[in-house]
Amino acid sequence: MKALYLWPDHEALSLLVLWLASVVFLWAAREPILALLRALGEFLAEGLASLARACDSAASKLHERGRAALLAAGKLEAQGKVGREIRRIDVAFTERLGQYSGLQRRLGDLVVKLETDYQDCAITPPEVPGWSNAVQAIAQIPTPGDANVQKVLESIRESSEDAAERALRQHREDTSRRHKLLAAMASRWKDVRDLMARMGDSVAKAMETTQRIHGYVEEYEKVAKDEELAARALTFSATKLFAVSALVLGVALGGAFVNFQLIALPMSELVPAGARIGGMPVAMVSALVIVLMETALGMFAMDMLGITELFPKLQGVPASRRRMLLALSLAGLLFLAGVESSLAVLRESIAAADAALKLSLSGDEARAVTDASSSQIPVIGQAVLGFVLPWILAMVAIPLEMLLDSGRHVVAGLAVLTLQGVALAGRAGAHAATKLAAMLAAVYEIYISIPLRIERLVREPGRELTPAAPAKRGETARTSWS
Amino acid sequence: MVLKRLALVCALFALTACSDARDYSQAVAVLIDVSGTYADQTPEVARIVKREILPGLVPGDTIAIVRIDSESYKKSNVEALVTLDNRPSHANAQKLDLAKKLDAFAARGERSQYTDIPGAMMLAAEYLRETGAKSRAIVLFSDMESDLPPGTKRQFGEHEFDGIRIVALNVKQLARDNANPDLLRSRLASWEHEVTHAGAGGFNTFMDAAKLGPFLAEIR
Repeated sequence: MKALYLWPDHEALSLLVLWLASVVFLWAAREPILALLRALGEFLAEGLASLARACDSAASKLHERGRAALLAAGKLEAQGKVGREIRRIDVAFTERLGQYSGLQRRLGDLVVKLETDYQDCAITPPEVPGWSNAVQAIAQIPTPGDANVQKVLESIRESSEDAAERALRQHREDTSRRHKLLAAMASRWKDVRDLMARMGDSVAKAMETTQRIHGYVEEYEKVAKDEELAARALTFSATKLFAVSALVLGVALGGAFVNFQLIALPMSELVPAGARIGGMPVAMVSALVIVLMETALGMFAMDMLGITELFPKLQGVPASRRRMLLALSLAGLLFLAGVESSLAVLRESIAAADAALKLSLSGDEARAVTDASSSQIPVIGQAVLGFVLPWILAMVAIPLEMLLDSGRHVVAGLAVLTLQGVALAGRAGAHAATKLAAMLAAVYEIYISIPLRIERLVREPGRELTPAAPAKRGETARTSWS
Repeated sequence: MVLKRLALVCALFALTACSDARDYSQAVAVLIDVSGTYADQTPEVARIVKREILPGLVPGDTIAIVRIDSESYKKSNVEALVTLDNRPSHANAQKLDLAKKLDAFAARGERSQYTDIPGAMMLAAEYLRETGAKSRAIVLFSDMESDLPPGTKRQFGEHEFDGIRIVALNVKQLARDNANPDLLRSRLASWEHEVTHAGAGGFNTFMDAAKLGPFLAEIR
């Protein structure tokens, strides 16, 4: 600052001269400086307003596009649900209808048998013969002393008694047969009742499925009609799915990290331990590749099982080939699980050997031997963990697909919010730029107020004597622009 | 066309990503003084090497044990030179074997009349250069008092210790150092001046042997 002083020994005088020079210069350059300030303010305000408009427009387009994508996804999902349900019904109905003919035949047979039995039972049973009265009447016939008459009467009585016994036996047999028929009818009625109950169940299930389909169709209709409510519901659903899948994927990543740590050390025995790829030891890269291979195989297996649809091309593969690919994926996973399990065992032995070496080098060999033979539980635990983790990791495909599906909607929503925020900031910035330029102009005029006043006095000598009209708010700023 | 470009980019990436293992390996030369004034320290030195240097070495690293005696610039002064195998289990076996050699070396109780420290350093530097390791260090176990036999000349080249870090450890104070510590300090300063002028990446002295392990890990 002192370098600017005209007379370094007289600071006050130098400052005064500098101030005067600056005031005179700024007064002389008043018009272009005000124009510059105005241009700067307009430039900033226009630029920020344009930015705000562009962001608003982009946000609007993105919102529309996102909404359309969301509704399309909703439609697809609803269609998928209906399709799946119809397929399920188709399968169930095909099965039930296949069984229906047999069921009907059984029911018909049972009904015919029941009718026959009923008819058999309906046949008038032989009445109990009235032989007893006849025998009694013959027995009461007085027998004169004539031996021949007595003999004849005795013979009649005996034959009557025989006939009575035969008739009674016949009656009892008929009654027993009817009872048997009735007993058989009871079990058939039970069969008929069971069959009817099964048919009732089938019908109830069909009704339930129909209700479900009805719900899906209603949902589909809402989405198809482009309802705001449906869009909001889908947005919420996508956000929820995103959060849940991100959480599950985070947990799965933790599992993958444990998995990686489990095999990174023993891999150094299988690959050149000193070599590196991009600064990372090859052993670690190999362990990472194994973990990624498990994930990839899991994704294939999940696709083949029809749980996910990460590879659309695989959906068109014939069923026999799908089964083959599924078997290959599962076999690969089994193989990798076996490899990991053995590596986990190897890891324990390497760690024990390292510990023993360190103790041995520090001259404590006795302790090394004792520690090394302590327990087998960690080895077993690591082996089991090494075998199980790949299978758990294979299921990452499910949350991954959910995350990818819901992520695009969530990201689009976030992008819209960001753009809207930028637009808001742009509008605020444009307003601030206008006001700031006006304020700078006012400050500028305050700085050169003395030469301005002198200029006015010189140009309009009479006006200064009259009291100035009260200035309206913001007038100074507006005057400055003119 | 796009696939070809992609394949080319992938190949270039693979070529640049796969690097020589030597870029990440370490070579350490341990120089052990067996002159009359320091010979009694040999068992302690062996213990320090086993405890602080060997555990920190990883597959691919190299270690050389060089004896400092009357005429150290001789191949026979290299007591052991081991490059650890790529398999950790084999590397562990090599470390154990080296530990046994060190014990045997300490048990020999060898004593030399003179102390040719520069000769041993020059020999070690040549071996270290040959390994091509990225990180190279010379660990000196000595009283740092050079006493060359008559007729022996040692002069460090300008680039003698390029890329090599030099550490003096367990420096034994001589009787006259106790009387005047400045003697030891000026001796060490003189060494530092000499080796840094010969291109060494640094000259450190540690009183506490436990600092050696972390230091070697740091310069890896």
